[in-house]
Amino acid sequence: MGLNVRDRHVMFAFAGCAALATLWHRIVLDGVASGQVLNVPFSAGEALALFALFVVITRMKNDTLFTRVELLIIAALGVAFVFPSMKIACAAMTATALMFVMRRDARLTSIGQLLLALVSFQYFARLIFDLIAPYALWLETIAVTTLLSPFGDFSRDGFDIVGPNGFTIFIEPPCSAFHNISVAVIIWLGLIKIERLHFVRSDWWALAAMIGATILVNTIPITLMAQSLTMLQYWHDGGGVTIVTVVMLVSLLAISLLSRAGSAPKLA
Amino acid sequence: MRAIEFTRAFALAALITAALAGSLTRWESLKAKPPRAPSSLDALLGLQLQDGAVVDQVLTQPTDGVRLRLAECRDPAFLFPLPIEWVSTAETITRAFASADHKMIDVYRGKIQRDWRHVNRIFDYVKATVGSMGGATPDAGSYVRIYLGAHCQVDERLLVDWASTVLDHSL
Repeated sequence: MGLNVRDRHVMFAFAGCAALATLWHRIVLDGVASGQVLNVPFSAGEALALFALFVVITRMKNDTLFTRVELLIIAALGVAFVFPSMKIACAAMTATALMFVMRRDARLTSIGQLLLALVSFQYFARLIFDLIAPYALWLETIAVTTLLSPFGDFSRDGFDIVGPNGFTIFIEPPCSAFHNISVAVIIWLGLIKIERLHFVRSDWWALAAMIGATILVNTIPITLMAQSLTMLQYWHDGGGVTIVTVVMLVSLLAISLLSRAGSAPKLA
Repeated sequence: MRAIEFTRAFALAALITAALAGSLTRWESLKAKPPRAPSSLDALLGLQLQDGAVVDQVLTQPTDGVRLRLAECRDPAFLFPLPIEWVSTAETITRAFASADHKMIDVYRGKIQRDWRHVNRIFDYVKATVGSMGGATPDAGSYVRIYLGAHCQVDERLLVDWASTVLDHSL
């Protein structure tokens, strides 16, 4: 009896390599270096995208979707995962994603989109944010100062938010609401691809709502941090971090579920 | 076995081998160079650096940094290790220290950077990251901003050495 290897088995192995590189980087290297076992929102986003990747590959069933040349390219790109470097792994994932994303088969397009989302989440989104950081953080500082205005005599001095008692905070990229939009985007894409391969109109409304919720849920704690040193410690390093994480993840999931309920076909 | 089936089996075997070998190389590289838990600048307090400079204070305002007492200059030097993308902190420090009494010097990856604007910083970071695709670049994500007394003359090699010591303790 011969081996009955199908294209999906090859893609399962490729996704396994991508999962190894991604989770190793996030949990072992970033986790130990940052002193946290898990950066929950970031890990949740990546884990969901990886799960969606495996779900989409399952939908390949026994279909033949790759040519011999494509199989050889995928095998060659797989060599990249031997190196203990996330950068090299990302290069292989990007090349594979670009190969798939223009294909007409919705399953391969979806695999390409998910791989691109994972790579963007690691590098490209961060890079784009870093480039626009002076403007994004400036806008965010204005937004927080405006939100704070009913609560007292808060003012803005450059990137500083100065409280009535002189207590001053400033926002850096890891705390920025705009920076965390990439978490919302990867969760949005992962949830859609788990359910189906195509986008529908309500998905874009859901994305807008998820980005809005992310900005709001990130901005409110910053307004609380600006009140005093005690509040800063609680919301920046203490129990407040867990509250913000849970609220953010629950609100993203709730928006996603509401959007699905709203777009589901109704029985007469 | 048809050619396509053979190619498929070969691709699967290659990817499984890559995953197993990748796990092994990652495990070995972790054992050889374990990631460090975040260290503290407090460990530098009292440390004597090159040319008789001594870390005489660890700063937490406006951000984490150290103050150096210099042998050759009456005014102290202030060194702040900063992540490359932290624009707000950089601006806050600039406003706290920028005056005719201080000159500002940025040190990135062993080089003095002049007129180093945010876009240049990101560009240099990308260059450093792409240039070392396989290797680790723990120092690529941070630089050290130094404020020296306006009249202090310090050799650039010393500034680079001090910056490197401070950065080692902040990564």
